[in-house]
Amino acid sequence: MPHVNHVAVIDYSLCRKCPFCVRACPTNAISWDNNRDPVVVVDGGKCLDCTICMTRCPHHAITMQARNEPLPYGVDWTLADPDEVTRVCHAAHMHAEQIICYCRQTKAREVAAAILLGHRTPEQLSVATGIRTGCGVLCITSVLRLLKAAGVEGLKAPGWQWYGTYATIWDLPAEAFEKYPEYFLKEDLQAANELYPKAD
Amino acid sequence: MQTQALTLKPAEPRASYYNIDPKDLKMRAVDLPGFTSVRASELFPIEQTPVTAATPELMRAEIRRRTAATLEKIDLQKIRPGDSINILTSHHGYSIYGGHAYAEMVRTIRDEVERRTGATDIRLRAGVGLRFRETEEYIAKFGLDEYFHGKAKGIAPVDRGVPIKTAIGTLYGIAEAYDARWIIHAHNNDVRELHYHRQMGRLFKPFAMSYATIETRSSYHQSTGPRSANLLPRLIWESDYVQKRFLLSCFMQVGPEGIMGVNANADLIAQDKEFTKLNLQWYGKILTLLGALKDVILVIDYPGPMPYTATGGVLFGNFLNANVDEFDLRKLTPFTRYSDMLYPDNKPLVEGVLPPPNPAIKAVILNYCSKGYPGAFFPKMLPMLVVGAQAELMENDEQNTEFMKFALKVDSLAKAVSFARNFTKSDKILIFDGAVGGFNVSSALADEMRELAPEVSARVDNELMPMWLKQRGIAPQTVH
Repeated sequence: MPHVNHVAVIDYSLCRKCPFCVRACPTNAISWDNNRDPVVVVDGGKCLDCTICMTRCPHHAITMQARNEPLPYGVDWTLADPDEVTRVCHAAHMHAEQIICYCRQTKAREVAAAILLGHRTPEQLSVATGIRTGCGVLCITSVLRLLKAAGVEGLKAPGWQWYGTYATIWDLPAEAFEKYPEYFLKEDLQAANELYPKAD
Repeated sequence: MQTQALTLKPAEPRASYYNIDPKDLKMRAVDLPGFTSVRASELFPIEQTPVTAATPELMRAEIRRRTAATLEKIDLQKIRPGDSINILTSHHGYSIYGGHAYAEMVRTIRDEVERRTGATDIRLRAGVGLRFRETEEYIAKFGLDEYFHGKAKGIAPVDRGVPIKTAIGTLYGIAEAYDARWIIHAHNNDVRELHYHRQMGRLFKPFAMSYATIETRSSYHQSTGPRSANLLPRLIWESDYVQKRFLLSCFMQVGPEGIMGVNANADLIAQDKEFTKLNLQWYGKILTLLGALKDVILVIDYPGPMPYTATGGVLFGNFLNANVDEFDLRKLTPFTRYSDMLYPDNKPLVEGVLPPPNPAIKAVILNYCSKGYPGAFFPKMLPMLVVGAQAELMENDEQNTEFMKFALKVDSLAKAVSFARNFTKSDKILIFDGAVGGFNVSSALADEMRELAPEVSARVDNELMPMWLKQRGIAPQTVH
């Protein structure tokens, strides 16, 4: 089981109680409550050492510190129905074994299984599987595509982390193919259909 | 450490959150015995000459003079004295050849806008890749916050977004990139991540990268295709939202021989076409030569993320893909984020579609680079030796949790090179150390590069260049 060895720690002498870290955290590990003291709190059970809060804090108030015990993360994809896992991956045009998080090497089947096991938002999926807890940037559309393929609807975008709109080669309008032939849309759609599965 | 006279000066180590402490960098590759250099100009002479000056101060003065001169051609009358202006910049520029030229270009843009328009609310916005403190480090290094009177700011893709309606739907920019009446796009033209931009709309790319939030960047890298992704930045730039703000673009011109000049234009489409011609001329032969080399050991020794480590104006990422002509738009390239996804192990899930990483690479020695770029693909696919403190940095890189599971730690650079020579049976070594104007290489590789250059030159002139131009709708007679 993969694990992390560090956790975000806030230096309250530097913290200005701005919500930057709360908005930037991919696992919702940091919460902000003006009626609480301290106002900003890290839930160590959800912090997966991505360092995004530390590197975006405008006041340099966050450091990563060694944990007393490593925190394991990850989902055993075989706990979900394997046929359903494959169906969801294919509906999202992904191979089950495909890497979708380059940082944590998370595979599509792990995220699909986590969705089927009840993790229904990008933040919950990040806590469960570790996805989006490296760079925090590159894999969000794969997560959203898998959620959509699993029929998870009505997600409320939390704001800075994701907004819920993105582009895929399978959804580009026909006019774009006609207007911009120099961008090889037709050729890349063909390549995508060779490289990735179609919905079952 | 004394660098041997026959070699080019490597890039200085950089004190950064993303690098090992410079004092832990025990040796530079160029200080090993047996290395020499090959100048880009001796391999493939070009008409243009790089900007040179006797001292760093004179170099900055020359960049300032050229920036002011090229801006002089641009009409700035739209700017009213009370208007706000964001100068949009990206991390890459601050890293090219030490970053001083790019920083001076940015300072000069600020000064010229103020001098010619009377506007004073001029802000610097510095976008990043995947290392969110990086441009803040550059802002401090070059004193830019002071220069911009407290109005310089690093921006990152996890910051607050702003919706931008495009021809294919809503994409998201970083709100603070666009929170001004006007924007000036200040960037660099170098060939850089050719595997991503493919020299198709290269000048637009930051609109879907440095100036964009995570979903737009993820759409580019995971969901829209390795070539067609380049439509996204073009569409963002064409949007009403951006067009209402866009004033001009100003590019630091970079080639394998060094800084080539500064070029400003109010028409980014026309400017992109001009730079496409120049990049094909400046980089086409060098990259084709890299693709012709065989049995090479690479040493990474540069204060940037692994695929962006540079020499002679080209990158490790270029060499990784050099077995495929990346300017040929019909071809898919070995490494992109699309292919990366398909290698859960060391062979692709779908065989027969993607070319393998450059088989000429027999070993990679990682002596020095930045953390903060997901790169497990590299040690999975290439024999990788990581030296000393650099191995610890990679082991603790949140973006490379698996990297060192596929790499071998070696305690000294000399041992790593000796070991690599033994198991590859090759004495051809290329160092990515930030050398300007050429390559630091072993003597055996220098000989091979010089021997292959004439044939490569003829092939590019007669066969490849006409094809590259035709694919991009450029008439060959317009290229000199």
